[in-house]
Amino acid sequence: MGFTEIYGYILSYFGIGFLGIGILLSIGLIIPACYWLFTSLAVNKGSVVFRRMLVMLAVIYISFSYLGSPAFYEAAGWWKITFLGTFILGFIVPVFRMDIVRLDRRRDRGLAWISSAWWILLVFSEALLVSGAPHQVVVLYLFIGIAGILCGSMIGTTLAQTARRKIAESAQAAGGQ
Amino acid sequence: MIDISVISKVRKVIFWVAVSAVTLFGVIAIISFVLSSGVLKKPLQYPKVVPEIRLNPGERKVFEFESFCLDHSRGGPRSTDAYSLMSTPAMKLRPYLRDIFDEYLSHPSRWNQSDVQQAVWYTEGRTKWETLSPEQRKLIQSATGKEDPASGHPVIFLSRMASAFGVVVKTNLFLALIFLGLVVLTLPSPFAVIERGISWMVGPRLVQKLSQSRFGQALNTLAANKGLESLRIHTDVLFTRLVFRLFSRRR
Repeated sequence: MGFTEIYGYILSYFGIGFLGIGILLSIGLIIPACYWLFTSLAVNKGSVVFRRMLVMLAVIYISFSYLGSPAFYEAAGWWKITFLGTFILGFIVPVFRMDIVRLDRRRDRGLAWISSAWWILLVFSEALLVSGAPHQVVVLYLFIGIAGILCGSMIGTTLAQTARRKIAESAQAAGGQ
Repeated sequence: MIDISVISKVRKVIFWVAVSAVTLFGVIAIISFVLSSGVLKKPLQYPKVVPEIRLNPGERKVFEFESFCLDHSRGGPRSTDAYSLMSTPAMKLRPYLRDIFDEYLSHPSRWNQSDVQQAVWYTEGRTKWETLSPEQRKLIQSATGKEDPASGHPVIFLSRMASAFGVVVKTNLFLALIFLGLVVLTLPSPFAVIERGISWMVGPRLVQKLSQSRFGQALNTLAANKGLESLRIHTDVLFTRLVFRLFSRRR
């Protein structure tokens, strides 16, 4: 073996160690990350718009970088269109049903449920990827669909809540006069 | 306010990390040099077989090439995908790949293209030696001089593990880091939320230590930053104004 081969040979042992640490860390951190996601998304207190916009950007970034990885090359060719379609759907539904929005709710359970579905699908897809299962197109489309619904409904729900507050304020003002 | 002593500590840490890394890579390089200095390198035959391509400005030539797939797990190229002729780092990084191509190009009439393809995929470490046909085993043995050379090879093992776990590790670590950042940036007392998230993994003592440490305090201080608070409020106010304006027009 030449210099490069031996150098790579020795370095790969360190690489195996680092990868092992990375695997352990990623397994350990995925659960607190999920808790942090639910907490920051569902709470209706404080600066909700700022928080949900950042969470939406984070979900888009993670979903897109996961599906864009070489492991899924050609697996789900229409995923961007699927995301756009489900995003619109997720946005429209809460806006059109703003009559059922309750302003006194401390936590938004719907968003927490959708984000948990997104997280479960991500972990399931990762498990399939690691196990070497050849076909997971259905899971990938479901994952990106849920990601679109989650992102759309984050903005849609926030818009519906704000609009509902405006309507309630206007009604109160009209009643006062 | 930024603590000056923290900056000098960070500088020291960076310096010692850099020195340790240089020492480690240097020692490995010396060991590799000593081990490889006495070994005779097998001369490659393919430069004699492959024609040298030189084109004058505006000149056009047509060559036919045989191509091989280097990554068994990837999907086939689409008809619209562009092909380009270029060197690949896999030739240097993946063990035995160069030997197999060299053997095939040196004796093209002796080996089948499909057997060479199987041998190329074998260097990824996903194919078991027992599943190869006798002809494919013979090709690998003639090229590398070993029986089942991929078995137990750390470079092949690492690349196989990295291709399986790399995406998962990257995604999960990014996810954890991004959501940790979001908790700090968007919640009023972030360490309480972080604490509840990690309390199942680490003992209560460690959690308490972390919350009292500079790290915990720094996170809470960052979350209470006035600039950040004003950014949060302004974003909310802007969005609310936009929605109010939209609904005022409608009414």
